[in-house]
Amino acid sequence: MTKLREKPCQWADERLEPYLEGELSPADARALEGHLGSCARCRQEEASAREIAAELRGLPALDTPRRVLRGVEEKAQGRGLFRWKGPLFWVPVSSGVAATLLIVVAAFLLRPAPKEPVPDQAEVAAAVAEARFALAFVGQVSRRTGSTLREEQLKPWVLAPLAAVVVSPGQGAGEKPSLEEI
Amino acid sequence: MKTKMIVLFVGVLAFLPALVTAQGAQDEDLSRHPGFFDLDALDLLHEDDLEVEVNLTGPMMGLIASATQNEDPEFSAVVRGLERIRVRIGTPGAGESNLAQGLTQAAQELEAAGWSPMVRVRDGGDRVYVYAREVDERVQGMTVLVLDGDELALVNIVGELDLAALGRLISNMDGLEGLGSIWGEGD
Repeated sequence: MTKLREKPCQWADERLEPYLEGELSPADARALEGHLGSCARCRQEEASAREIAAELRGLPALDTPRRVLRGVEEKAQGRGLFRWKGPLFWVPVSSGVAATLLIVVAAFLLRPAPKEPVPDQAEVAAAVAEARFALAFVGQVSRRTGSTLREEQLKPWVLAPLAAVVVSPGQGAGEKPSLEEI
Repeated sequence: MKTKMIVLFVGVLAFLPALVTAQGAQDEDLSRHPGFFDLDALDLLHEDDLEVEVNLTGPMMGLIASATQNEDPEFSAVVRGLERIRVRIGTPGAGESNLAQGLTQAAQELEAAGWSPMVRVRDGGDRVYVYAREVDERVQGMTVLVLDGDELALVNIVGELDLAALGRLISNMDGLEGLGSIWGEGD
């Protein structure tokens, strides 16, 4: 550090800017003012410094873009959006994901049931005809088999015994035929 | 709080598959009905062989019953208890030489499954099988298998059937127009 008594102008140069900014200690400020009062060169330096400072203050202030500031802050702090993964970070994230999924599931569960296509009158009429057809077919089968059974059963139970009476008494009076035999 | 949310979320996820399969289960319900007999599984009549096909199920059965309630209350009453009417009639292709054997096997399957034979006719190569399925003394289904010459008819009626009412109904019933030669009108 330069000493006032050894190199007073150099000492004054080093303290001129803090002096103009009001950052110099009162003791140094008094010493500097004492030197300025006796040194024309340093007074000229002081005047030049005051002039430059005044011109700097007169320049327009420019705004820094927000993204640049954020980038600078992140760089300065050394972290990105997802770099911090502490437990307190995941609680809101997991809660948000769970809530979103629950909303989706609830919307799925509570969705209106798909409406069954209501058949028109013609379709119902066709269905009635088909149902009649099916039951009529069953009826036809019953009648057909009923008549077949009657015919088939007449032979062993009525016709054959009658013939047996004529041809050979006792023949044909066997057991009732089973359905398998029919 | 976090634990509760996780439990709730897992519960909802566990419930989802059941919801998705609900529709499939509805279809399976009918196949579990005691009166159901899977005619398609017989593999005797293929799609190309079909001349007549009827497939009426639950919702339509209700509409049929409602539509005929005034004009034909007997028919409506019989249909109202039904859940399905399935009819497949056709002439199988030349490759189906064992139709009689196939029908006999189907009849055996029906009996093994607890169906009661109402009619069994074997006349040469022709076959007629009528089976009913009773549960607690109530008829829950009827299956008719007919082979007449080269024509085959398969019927499965699922649902509660009042045989007396059905007998009264079908004794004077027409409606076989379009049936073809298999026991149609005029045969």
